[in-house]
Amino acid sequence: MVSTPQRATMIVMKPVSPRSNSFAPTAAIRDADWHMPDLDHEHAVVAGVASGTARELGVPRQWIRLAFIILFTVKGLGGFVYVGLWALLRWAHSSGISPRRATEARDRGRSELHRFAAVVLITIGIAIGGASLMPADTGLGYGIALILMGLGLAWRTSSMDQNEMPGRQRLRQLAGGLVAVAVGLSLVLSRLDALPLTLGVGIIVLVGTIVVAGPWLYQVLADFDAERQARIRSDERAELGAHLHDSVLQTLALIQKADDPQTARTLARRQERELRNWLDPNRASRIGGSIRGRLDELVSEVEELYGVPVEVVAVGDTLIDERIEPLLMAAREATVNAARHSGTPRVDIFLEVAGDRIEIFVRDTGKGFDRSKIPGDRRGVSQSIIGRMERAGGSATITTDIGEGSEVELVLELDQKDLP
Amino acid sequence: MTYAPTVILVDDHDMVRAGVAAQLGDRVQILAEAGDVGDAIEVILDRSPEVVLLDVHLPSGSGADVITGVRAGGGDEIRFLALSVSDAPDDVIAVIRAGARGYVTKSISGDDLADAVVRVAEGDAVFSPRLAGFVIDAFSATLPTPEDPELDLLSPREQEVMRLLARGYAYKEIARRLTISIKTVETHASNVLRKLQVSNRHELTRWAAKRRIV
Repeated sequence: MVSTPQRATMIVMKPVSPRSNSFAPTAAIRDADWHMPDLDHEHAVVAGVASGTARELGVPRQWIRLAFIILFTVKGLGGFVYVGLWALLRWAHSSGISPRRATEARDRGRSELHRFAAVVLITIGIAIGGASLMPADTGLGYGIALILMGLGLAWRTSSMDQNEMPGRQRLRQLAGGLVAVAVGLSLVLSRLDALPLTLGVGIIVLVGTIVVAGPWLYQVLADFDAERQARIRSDERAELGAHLHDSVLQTLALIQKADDPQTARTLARRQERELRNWLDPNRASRIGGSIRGRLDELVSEVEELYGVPVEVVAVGDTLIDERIEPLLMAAREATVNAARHSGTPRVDIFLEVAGDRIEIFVRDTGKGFDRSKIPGDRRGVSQSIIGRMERAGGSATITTDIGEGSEVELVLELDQKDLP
Repeated sequence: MTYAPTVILVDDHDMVRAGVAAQLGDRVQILAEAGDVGDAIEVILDRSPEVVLLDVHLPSGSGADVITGVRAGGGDEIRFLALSVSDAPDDVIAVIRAGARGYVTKSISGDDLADAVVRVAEGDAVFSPRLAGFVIDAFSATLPTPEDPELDLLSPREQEVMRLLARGYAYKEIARRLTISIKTVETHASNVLRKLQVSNRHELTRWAAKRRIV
């Protein structure tokens, strides 16, 4: 039936089971003796019954296949013979009936021949019995034969694991088996008028299909899941690798080339900040919209511009809106002033969000200044900090003295009534 | 020479230990170094330093495990100062709760670090601005519990001290600003540390959990 020469070349199976190895067809043995045929996985089209038999008989595989096909046209008899032979050969080899340890080649040959003859006879008996029990309807016979073959093929395929047969080939065989079942089923159904019987057959076949395909499907799903997990892991690793390469490695290379310590420090500091931000489990919620995220951004800009480290300590957080923007701009200006003019080794920023009240303290331990001596044209403090905060409805307080460092305190109360 | 406390460094990175040792110079006496939890506990109990400079994260556990192990081994007098790059509040709080006398970040200057070690050796608590921030955060999120209302709250003065610490003030600047003695500032800081260590575990755990997901 499905035996055509083209397909025979398409499906190639490796004989991997120990069973078939112990019956490896070496030329010497084959010439000397008869053996009970083993399934020939290597040249199998369906299950290797025909090619295995041909191998032992020493005839071309196509002859045997043709014989099966001719037999099949007789009420599907070939199908029954095939399935029967397959089952018997499998059983004979797996149950150890075939003599693995016979020492006398001739004895073994003889007993093998006897057994093969017995197997053939039993099979033919089963086949004829099975076929004769069928109604004298050829279509029904073909149908049932097809179903049996298809199920056998599907079951055999699905019970193998990945190592025995590559997935694609397995899929093809399984599909072939299921198609055979479907065709056989439709043949059977078209011949049966009695509805309950039709349903019964349908259910049986359906259950059978699930049973045979079950292990395979499970295996495929498990493989798929394992693959997916592995892919996620390797993606993560790739992302991490890419990130480290783009950031840390580049910075390290720059630091090695940097001549003055200040540049190296700035580079290292910027990299540290960037990496921390990347590792922060809360970063996703901070990106963009939060006051802490924005403050961190502003501060790292200033740090880079003036090369002075800025420590930010933050308590609480809130979403940013246009009323908070002036507060952040004022904080930035205060930080710039401290970094630029005070000569401080470090700027400390403390942000506290408590309910509707937001406070930012920008402190340095630099030389401080006398506010009365700031020239009127210097707009930094008066405009950028104090004026800006007042316009925004908040306040700015500057505490400083010569030699005492300075601190800018920015307070903004958000009135809930103003909320959009 | 001035007082130089004995110290053991615990950090899994050789480079960090070398860097810290170089920064501290001769202001402390480094007795030994250790790179993982088991070694650290053994050498600390063996040498009995005054102060252990302790990394929060170690390959075989955490800084808190070292403290617990040393306490279990009878090293009750040994003081710990956590030194870390970690920014994760719950990690820091965990090592403080295990008994560390303070937490400083690795970006601290050598002089400040030596000062901190000396202060811890003298029994004082050391707050970096970041730790003060964590404390304010933790206690502002912690509601008083019925069974022990006082313990879980900071007094207004303590809150004030913590805020100034978070803003970057040193003890003596805080003392001047609040017109109190440095000794009083130190007492406040120690009290806060003690409250952090003994306060309601459940509330702080909840706070830490919240920090993780917010």
